[in-house]
Amino acid sequence: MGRKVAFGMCLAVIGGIFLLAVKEMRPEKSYTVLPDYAPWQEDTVEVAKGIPLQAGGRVKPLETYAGYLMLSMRGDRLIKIVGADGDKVKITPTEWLLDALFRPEVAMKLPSFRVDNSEVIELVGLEAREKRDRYSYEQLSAARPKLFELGTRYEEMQRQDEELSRVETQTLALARLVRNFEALIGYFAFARSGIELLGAGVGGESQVQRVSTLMATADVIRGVLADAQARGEAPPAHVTNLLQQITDLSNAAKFGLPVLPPPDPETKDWLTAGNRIWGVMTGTSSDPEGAIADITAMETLVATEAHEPAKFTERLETWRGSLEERARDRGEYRPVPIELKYNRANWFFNALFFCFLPGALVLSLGLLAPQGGWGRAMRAGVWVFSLLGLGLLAAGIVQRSVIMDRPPVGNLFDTIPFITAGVVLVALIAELLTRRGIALGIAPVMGFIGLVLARRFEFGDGTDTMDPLIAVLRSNFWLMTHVLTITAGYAAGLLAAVVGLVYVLRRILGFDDDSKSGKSTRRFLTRMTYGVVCFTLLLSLIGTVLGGIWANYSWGRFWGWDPKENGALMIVLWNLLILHGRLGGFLREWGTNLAALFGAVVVTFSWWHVNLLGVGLHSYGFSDSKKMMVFSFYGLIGIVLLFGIGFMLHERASKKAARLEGASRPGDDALAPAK
Amino acid sequence: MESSVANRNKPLAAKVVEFLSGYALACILMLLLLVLTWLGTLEQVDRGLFVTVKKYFSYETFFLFPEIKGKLVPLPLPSAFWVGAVFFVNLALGTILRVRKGWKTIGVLIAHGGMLFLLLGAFVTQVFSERGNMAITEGEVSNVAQHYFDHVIEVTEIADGKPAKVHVIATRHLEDLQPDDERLFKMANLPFDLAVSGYRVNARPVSVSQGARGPAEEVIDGFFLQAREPEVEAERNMPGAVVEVRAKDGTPGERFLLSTASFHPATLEIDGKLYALNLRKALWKMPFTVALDNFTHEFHPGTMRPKRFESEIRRIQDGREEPVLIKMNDPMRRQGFTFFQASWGPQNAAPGDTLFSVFEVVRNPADKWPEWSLYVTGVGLLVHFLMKLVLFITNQPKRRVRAS
Repeated sequence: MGRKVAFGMCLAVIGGIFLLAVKEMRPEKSYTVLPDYAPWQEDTVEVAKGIPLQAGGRVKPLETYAGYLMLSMRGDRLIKIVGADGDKVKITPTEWLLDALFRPEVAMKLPSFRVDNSEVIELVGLEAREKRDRYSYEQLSAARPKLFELGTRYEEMQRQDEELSRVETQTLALARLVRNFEALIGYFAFARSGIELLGAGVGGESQVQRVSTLMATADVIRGVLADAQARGEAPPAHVTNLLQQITDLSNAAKFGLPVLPPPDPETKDWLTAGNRIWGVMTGTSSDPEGAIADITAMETLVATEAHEPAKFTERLETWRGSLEERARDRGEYRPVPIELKYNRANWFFNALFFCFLPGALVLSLGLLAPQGGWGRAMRAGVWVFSLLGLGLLAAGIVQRSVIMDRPPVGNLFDTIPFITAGVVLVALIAELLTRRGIALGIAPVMGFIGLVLARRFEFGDGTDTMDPLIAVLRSNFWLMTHVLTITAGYAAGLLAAVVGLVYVLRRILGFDDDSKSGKSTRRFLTRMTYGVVCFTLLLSLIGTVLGGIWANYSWGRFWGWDPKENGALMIVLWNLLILHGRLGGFLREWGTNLAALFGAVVVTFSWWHVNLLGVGLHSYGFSDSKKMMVFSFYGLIGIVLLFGIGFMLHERASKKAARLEGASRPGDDALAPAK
Repeated sequence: MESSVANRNKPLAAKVVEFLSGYALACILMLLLLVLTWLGTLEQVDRGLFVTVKKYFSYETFFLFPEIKGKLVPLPLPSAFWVGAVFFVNLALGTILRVRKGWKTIGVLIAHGGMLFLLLGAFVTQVFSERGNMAITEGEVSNVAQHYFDHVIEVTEIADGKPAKVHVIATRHLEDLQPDDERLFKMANLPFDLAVSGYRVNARPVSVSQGARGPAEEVIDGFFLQAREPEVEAERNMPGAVVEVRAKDGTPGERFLLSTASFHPATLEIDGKLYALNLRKALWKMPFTVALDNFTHEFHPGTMRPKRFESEIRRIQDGREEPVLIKMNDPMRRQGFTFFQASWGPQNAAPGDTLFSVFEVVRNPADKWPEWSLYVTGVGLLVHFLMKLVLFITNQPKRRVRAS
């Protein structure tokens, strides 16, 4: 019976977590219908993916940039629409970005914005649909003035340290996203529209000129302006008109794609098309010819896209090649091809869906009949899937490390795959040493949970998970020692909690009766919990003190009662308490395991919760959904603990009653069944 | 049964030592430290770090009532300082009396020794360390740091238009004063004494025409001290007080309103001699002078994420100069003082503007103790747990060989 319940529970947990993982992938209720949508050619997309650009402080491929941009706006990395002949069309981030840059009229119709709260839509004066829904730019554009007005107001309130309500925060976020989107769709406006020269054509008609052509005459234009100024007169109307157009177009291209490596090696910031135009027109560019060439290349590209898709790919490739060359000359190109491979390998996704998930399912099936051939086959399956998952996970972590050129843990996201890999690895080693099947069972489940968490984190934040390190963290020695040790300490603490959980669940579900083997398994589990607690203490203590020593190097104090430091200290204290409680005889089997399980709460407080307090030196951005996840986790552990304690007390009471009954009727012992 | 009888017959001192060295006390203390750390972490969100640390770790208080989200929790808890002190005793006695001495426990003994040293280091740091900061503009020199939290009332004798001799009263002698209280400071080397009253930890001088004044607030020269809530970041507090210059025979003299927020000191003339009165952050003289030659900072391209900041300085002492580069994670340690790269400004400086660099200055006799204790504890724990692991593995029942 217990096994069936366990099987059911396993399936329910896996199913629940799976749903959580794919929540962002659930199909939209109704797809946008765009019969005229022409999908991009595969080779065009491949070329576009590898265009190097600089964003968030590092050089990366356009594919990565597009992925996070789409994630921040839409909450996922795929748009599905109904195209020609009612066929479903899948639009990837790179295709979406190509649409926004080269076919804005199409991009405006794509459902690019996810609005989690329909109140935001109502607030800006539109008619809301579902509570959470996706909208296209075209649908939102009717409310654009109101949205921007509110956005400006809320930004000002934020500057004045006023607290914004939930709806206000979401409205401000939407306004910013719409602004970002406009920076994309307007990026190549200069190449599409050109400059209209009033009265310059035949018969006094207007004539359209390329911006690059105008840039070549920048000296002349500036001369006209200077002359007018010298005479104390206003510049001629057609010049004023021209300048206004150039200002508008260069502004539209100023905040989008920083795709142009600057010619000066000392200049660190890459340039946008807008920077290039503005630099030449104002005479502040150190490389006007290069700037004109850049703008000409973009104009040619845009002009080609409209007419010859095949040629477009060829020109895009040439343009990408020139950008790569310039990036290489600056010594900044190294991570781009590696990151493209990393994106293609999709290590964590594959480890999650093709290794740990099937591993966890095989484990559940094994629970039904752990003995015999079936059990052995399932165990072998779990081994294979877990090892494969661990391999992919490790490959992903190593490749990220190579891309970032630093040790594997430097931000909160990094800790998740690292801890997951740590737990899976230690569980597999423990299984190798013990061969009881228990540690083996932990491996795929923890791998699965860890990677779901990583996925939720990445999707929830929608920001680059390979962001560069801030000054204080830029020390490979300390990142290697303190951060890795403390993170391994979290992993060990969680593993101890999982072993404790296994003990508690086995007891509650009746896996372990009072038979000899049952008692032996209990003792084994408790010893294992104890062993992992020892290592948690070792790693957390060393990690914490190393952190202190680092802080002493960086800030001049070993200990500053920073929330993250306090969290680490709490883990140390809790594990010390378990070990000494056990030595003093206050914690026995139940006590040790329940205490280790509570350790998960202490680890979570240190790993996640302190970050949401918003104070201290280790404070990172934290969203409401993560807060909710943390509290739900506390609740879940609390429930299991209560059940465990209840069961333990009940068991004790039953044993006591049995003993009393036995003592009053000594003769009954003879009737007790042999064990 | 026998043991409990034996226990009952033990002398009281032995029982006390047994309790003090026992696991029960150890567990209670660890739990208390854990709970105090947790509550302190939550409380610093509302109250600020300085105030919370003072509340939880001061040796002056024995009990405290925690607050969660600004609400008092009616649960008296012992001060973490005293819990730590008892923990030290428990750890020392436990190590000496309880832990078995032998090869099997060598790791535990070493680790406990390391922890005792760490706790001792924490105590020495808490009691004897000093911290402050020194801000220097490029091209300028300084040989004084400013304390973060300590303020002083300064009386400066002025001779020939220049400060000649400075007399100070530390404001820690004032912090227990209620606004209505007055405290007289006998100034041995001055022709007058100072009576200080109306001391506020955080206040601003406000013109009577601009602010609503309470009945208790004294007006001096058209200004009064408007009290403010203490800042969450305690180093931002600007104390204020009313100072009366009193003749040695007790005759009341001129009254001044002193505030850290004031730009200029108050001046008075007695017997033809000029004095300046000021309330400011305490200064801390360094044994050497620091000249800032150049400060450079760099952000990650296109972001406001700091990538690097460093100061090229010269340390000048007895006419000798030593060039030093101070940067993040690479401080300057000289003569017991450590200079850390802390911050810089002005934040809105344009390229080419003159910048200033701020160094955190620390003197801590136990500076390196945690590092040494880490080596000791780490080795101890590693030895112990590796021994345990080997035992765990070797004690595993042999794997059942499946019948073919």
